[in-house]
Amino acid sequence: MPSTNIYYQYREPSPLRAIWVLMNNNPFAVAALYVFGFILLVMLLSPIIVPHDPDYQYADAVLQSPSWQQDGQIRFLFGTDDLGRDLLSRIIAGSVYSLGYPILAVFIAAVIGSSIGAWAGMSRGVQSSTLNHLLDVILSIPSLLLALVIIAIVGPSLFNVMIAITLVLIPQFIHSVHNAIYEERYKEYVTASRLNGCSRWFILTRVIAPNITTVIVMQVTIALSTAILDIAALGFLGLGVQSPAPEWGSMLARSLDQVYLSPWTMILPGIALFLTILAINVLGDSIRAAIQERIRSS
Amino acid sequence: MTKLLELKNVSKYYVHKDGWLPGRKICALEPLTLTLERGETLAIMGETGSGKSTIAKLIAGAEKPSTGEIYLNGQLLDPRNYRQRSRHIRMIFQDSLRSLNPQTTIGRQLSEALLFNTTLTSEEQRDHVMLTLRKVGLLPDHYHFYPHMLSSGQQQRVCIARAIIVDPQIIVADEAFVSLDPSIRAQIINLILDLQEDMSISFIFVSHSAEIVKHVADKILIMHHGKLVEFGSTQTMMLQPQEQLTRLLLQTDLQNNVTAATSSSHSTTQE
Repeated sequence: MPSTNIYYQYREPSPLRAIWVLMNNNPFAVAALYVFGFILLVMLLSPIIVPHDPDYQYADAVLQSPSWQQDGQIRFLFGTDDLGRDLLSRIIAGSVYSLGYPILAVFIAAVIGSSIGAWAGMSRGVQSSTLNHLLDVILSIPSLLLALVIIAIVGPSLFNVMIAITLVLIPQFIHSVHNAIYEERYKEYVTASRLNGCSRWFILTRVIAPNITTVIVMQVTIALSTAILDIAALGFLGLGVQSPAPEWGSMLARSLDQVYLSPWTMILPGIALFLTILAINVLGDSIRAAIQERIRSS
Repeated sequence: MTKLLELKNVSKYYVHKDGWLPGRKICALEPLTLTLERGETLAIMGETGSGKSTIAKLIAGAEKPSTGEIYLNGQLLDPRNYRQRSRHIRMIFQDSLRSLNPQTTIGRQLSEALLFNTTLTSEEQRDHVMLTLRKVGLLPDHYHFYPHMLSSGQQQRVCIARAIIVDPQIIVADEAFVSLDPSIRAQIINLILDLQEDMSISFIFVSHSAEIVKHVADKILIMHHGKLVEFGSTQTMMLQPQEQLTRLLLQTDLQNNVTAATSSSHSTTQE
């Protein structure tokens, strides 16, 4: 489109853009977005930006205080733990376990859950019902408990934890996508597209999908904070990621013994976990608020 | 010479189901037989719940008939095959905003019909959509607009554009003018009449307003409780109505109107 800006033009934003604009008006949402973006960037660049090898034990610097304290060294910005490993490197490398793996689990659950949910939403009668309630039994068990059951059977490992968390998240996606599609598919604009002769695949992907993206985004943020908490909790219990790996939860568990001697080994991974979950929850909450605001104003 | 549209014993039943008990059958439309010639305008009138919207939806294919067949140019229409009729029979819905996808631009929604009913390339589709937008009195700029940015009159025009974009033979309008104010309504009706003249479209519309019906229709169909009460040309219906209901629905100057809906006396016609 040629746009010569001679005249004053007010362009009304598209519906998705309107949500973005509303979110931009909320400073907390913007802050949360930046924090989350920063953590994500750190996670992606973690192999490059770690100052030390996260598993290397510096025998000369065991339980070194963080650099801002009197006896700290600038060599170890966040200090070291009881084996002389650099804490900053461990927190950066740990973001892969504590954020990367939950993102992977949520992604897999979202793909599987959304496809089953879409299938259920587009079909009708018994087929729809069966698909919708396929994994409902899992919903009755808390995610952490299910993970414990699976680990009790097949033994503790990251892979088993991932399977447990993905399994728990799938039915939530099925339900939310199914309900969203079911709500949309009897609206008049879908009937109009049907009368246009559109194929079912076109109706699902081009006509209905843009109207339920917000539902999926919201569900993803909820699922992500659950997954992060679960992996951290299992790591804390020593059932998830195994010991030398720098997972934030297992770092917390390890620091429990010397919390009075070296509080930074607990506080710093704790802050990282807290900031990540806070950012995701604030982000999800403000997306929901923005959606409601847009519906109210239109 | 076959008729353009033929309805043979078409009826519609709904089943109301309460839990596990066998449902109650509710009759929306009793078996109806009807024919329509090329270029004719048929108006369907009746009280609320008399089955007039059901006829419109059955012809357009939005609902499947319980019994009976619909023929277009002597060819049987399959109620499951939307592609078959999407080219020839188009529908304009009652609520224009709700019949447009809120998350898609006007242009893309209009090219949807072209994508599935023609073999045009995307360039040609774009040009054709712009041309159609001009035809209904909108600007090519509206191609990039979202439905909520338009006024209700403009939304109605978009719906008309969607109906005429594939050069159909029949347009079905289900109370498409109710939500518009009188001046826009007159504009839109004149627009449809112009298009009908240019493209020789048959036009079936459901309406409450006797004024519009008198102005536009060639034939009138009066419905009551799912039954056909009277069917005939506008002139005979006006001059020699056989039934009391016809008289009530068509004569707006009558003082003792039964329903509020039929008493609308908007002057929408332009003499």
